[in-house]
Amino acid sequence: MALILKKNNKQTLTQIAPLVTVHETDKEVILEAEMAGLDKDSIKIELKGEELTIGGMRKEQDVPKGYTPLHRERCPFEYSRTFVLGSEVDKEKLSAQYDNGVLTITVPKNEDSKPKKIMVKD
Amino acid sequence: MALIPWRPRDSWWDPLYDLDNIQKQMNSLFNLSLSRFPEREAGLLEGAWNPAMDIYDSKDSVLVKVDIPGMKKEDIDISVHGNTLIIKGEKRQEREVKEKNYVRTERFYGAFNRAATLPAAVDAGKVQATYKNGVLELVLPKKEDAKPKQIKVDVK
Repeated sequence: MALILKKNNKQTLTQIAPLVTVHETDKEVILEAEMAGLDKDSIKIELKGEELTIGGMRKEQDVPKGYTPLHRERCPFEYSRTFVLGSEVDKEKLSAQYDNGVLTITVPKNEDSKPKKIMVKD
Repeated sequence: MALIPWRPRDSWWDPLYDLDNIQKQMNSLFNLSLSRFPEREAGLLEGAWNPAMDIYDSKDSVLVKVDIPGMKKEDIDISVHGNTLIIKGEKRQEREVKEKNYVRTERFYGAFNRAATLPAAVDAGKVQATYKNGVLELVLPKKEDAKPKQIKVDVK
């Protein structure tokens, strides 16, 4: 979802939601977001209550020095997306890794959300 | 498609500007693809995903940047044929996940293929490629005779 915000005739950055893949295992929920072109220090991960917001400002907005642009598809924008984490996960233990343009967030599940086997007694 | 000759129009005095604008927007609406970046019109035959690419030019070299997050260096294939640059590769899933464990999938996987015509012939042996933070950056130095040269005019 792209939003172009215009404030006072000045165009602020387009916000683009990064594509994500979310999958879960018995122990954790893993979220992978594709956010290319960010440095580790420009990645923002915010946790407010139940909402997790991931984002980042792409530093390479401008034309590299000494070059003129011939063809541009990568317009300057900012990544931003918010997710709601349910109560099945332990938000305090959230961990994040950024590798090759993919931000991977791993949140372990709470003890009582893990699947438990119940044996039938004779 | 308009059959009248195209003339650049100044918006504030031209009464037909609004109509022309509406026609242009209708045309682009029909061309609009469902891709995330509608300004890159994806044809029907293109793959499910196509990375975004920028091409910059300077007098000595051509700089190309492509957004391809989540790839391994060895899965990227770059080749140069004269003026044409071809970048292709395959994005593989890093792990095996069973169908039922997916909550949401939006990321594209699979092969991609992009070709671009460069503004000048480049020296294929001197191309430098780096892949950092999901962005593939190529610096392609131009061939000597392709560089713009100053021609001195002697006035006698």
